[in-house]
Amino acid sequence: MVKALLQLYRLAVLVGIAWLVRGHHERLRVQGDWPVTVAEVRVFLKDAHRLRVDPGPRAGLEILDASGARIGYAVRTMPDSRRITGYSGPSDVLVVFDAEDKGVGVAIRHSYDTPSHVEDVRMDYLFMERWNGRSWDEIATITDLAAAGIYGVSGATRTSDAVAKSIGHRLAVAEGREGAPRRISVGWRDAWLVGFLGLGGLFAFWKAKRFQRWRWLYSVATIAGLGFWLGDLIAQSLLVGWAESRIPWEATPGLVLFVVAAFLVPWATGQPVYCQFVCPHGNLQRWTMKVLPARWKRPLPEDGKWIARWTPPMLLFVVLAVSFLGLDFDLAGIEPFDAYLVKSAGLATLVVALAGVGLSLYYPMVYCKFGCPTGWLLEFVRRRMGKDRFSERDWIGLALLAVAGGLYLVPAEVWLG
Amino acid sequence: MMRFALRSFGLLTVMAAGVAILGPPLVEKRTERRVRAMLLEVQEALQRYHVKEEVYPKRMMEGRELVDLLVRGGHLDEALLNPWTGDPYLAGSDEDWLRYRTDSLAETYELTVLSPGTEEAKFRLDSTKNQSLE
Repeated sequence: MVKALLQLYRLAVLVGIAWLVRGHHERLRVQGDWPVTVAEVRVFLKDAHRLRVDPGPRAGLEILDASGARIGYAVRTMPDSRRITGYSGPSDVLVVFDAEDKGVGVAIRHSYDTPSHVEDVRMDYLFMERWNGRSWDEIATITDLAAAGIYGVSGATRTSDAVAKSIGHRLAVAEGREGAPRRISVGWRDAWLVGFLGLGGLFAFWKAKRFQRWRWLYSVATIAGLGFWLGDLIAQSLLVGWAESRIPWEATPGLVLFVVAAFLVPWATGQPVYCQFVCPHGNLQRWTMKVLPARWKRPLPEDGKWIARWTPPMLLFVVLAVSFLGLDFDLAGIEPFDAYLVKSAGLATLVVALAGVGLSLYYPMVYCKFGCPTGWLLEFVRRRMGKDRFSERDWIGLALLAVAGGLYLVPAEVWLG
Repeated sequence: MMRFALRSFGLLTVMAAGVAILGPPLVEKRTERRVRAMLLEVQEALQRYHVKEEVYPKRMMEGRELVDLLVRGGHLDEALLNPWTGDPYLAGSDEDWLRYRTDSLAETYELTVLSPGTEEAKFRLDSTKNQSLE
């Protein structure tokens, strides 16, 4: 029972972190650089208590009252309408709807247009109330402003026209976002990935000698095929990319299955299939550790191991900070996996790859044991054989979740000034 | 005791490595946010200048000179900070990567922020093609 709860806890920590990363980036996509606040919305809906990001095609904010009931919806026109300019620039307009999707108010939040013109439009209540009572669909389909009874503000015609058009454009764009239904497309890369995964699984679970004697061939094939040819290694850049946007299950189903299996198989069975059998970099290190005679090997002292084991968690904290704070830092550079895509590999990933392989000549599997953040995550969820208890790893997992929660809840201004 | 000291030192070294990795992009992001805020204030002040004078300032200028002009005209608060130093813009500093230019009739403006120490434009805000920072 305790073991099962611990396993659920470990999975929950990973899912929780991914959920927070996802939520944060959905909020950024919808809110952009100028987040809409409850106070702005309360001008039109006085019972507004909280805003909830809508990750759907409308990409706006659901307005909730104190009881959590949905009482309206809000969108801002930027950045979708940034190309619609008035006299000298575009305006960011807030549009608020009630629970029946009828407009209850618009407000100019910020503008790059001439301030005096913007002020004229702001103060023209007749113009600013032209959207009240109209439905989302009705506004989205307005193509002729005059025919819809929306007339420009005298003295600020271009600015007011731009405001009106940017509202219509923003809503129309949202309607168009419904897009075509997603269809699964399976390609030859997917087949190869599933093949590598299946074979790795067989080597992990089928211990017959007549089969295991071919493991060396499989190991070479993962380095050449999965590594240098396909370049599909599980890496932080991939996992964070998926968490930030979405899992492309229909475009690359093989890769999705590959990654999901890499986490769920060790979680359910305790067998680290990806790390021990499939990972090209792990397999490359297994080969390099055989190059030098055993007497040349240098075992790390216990204290050295203890210290080095903190490297992957430290890198995971870096990954969280980069993702949540939107730092201009290529996560591919902290791992060696992009080095397999030789032509496009950056210097950092090449250095990490070569250093890891070079060190593994003397310290067997040193990168896997003390450098790999992705391996740390896979090991974190892996079911332990025999007795299991809440260990150091689980505390670190909790700390990672807490950091993700902190970065999610605390406004970016606190960290970035 | 020796072991505790060794491990503490090792752990601090690992943490320092993390800070060293995060430090430069974090500083860059902070500066970028300040630059964007400064650009918006200067752009708004330029619009006010244009409303009053009916043209934009007529010649190319570096940031400090432009800020000085806008402050003297009452279009911009003199407390505006230099995003690269954190000091008041008018206090003067070599760290000034804002550039202003206009056309021959002073009917358009272009504000460019260069990557420090280079001629590469990092942000551009103008009255023709890049009218917003979003």
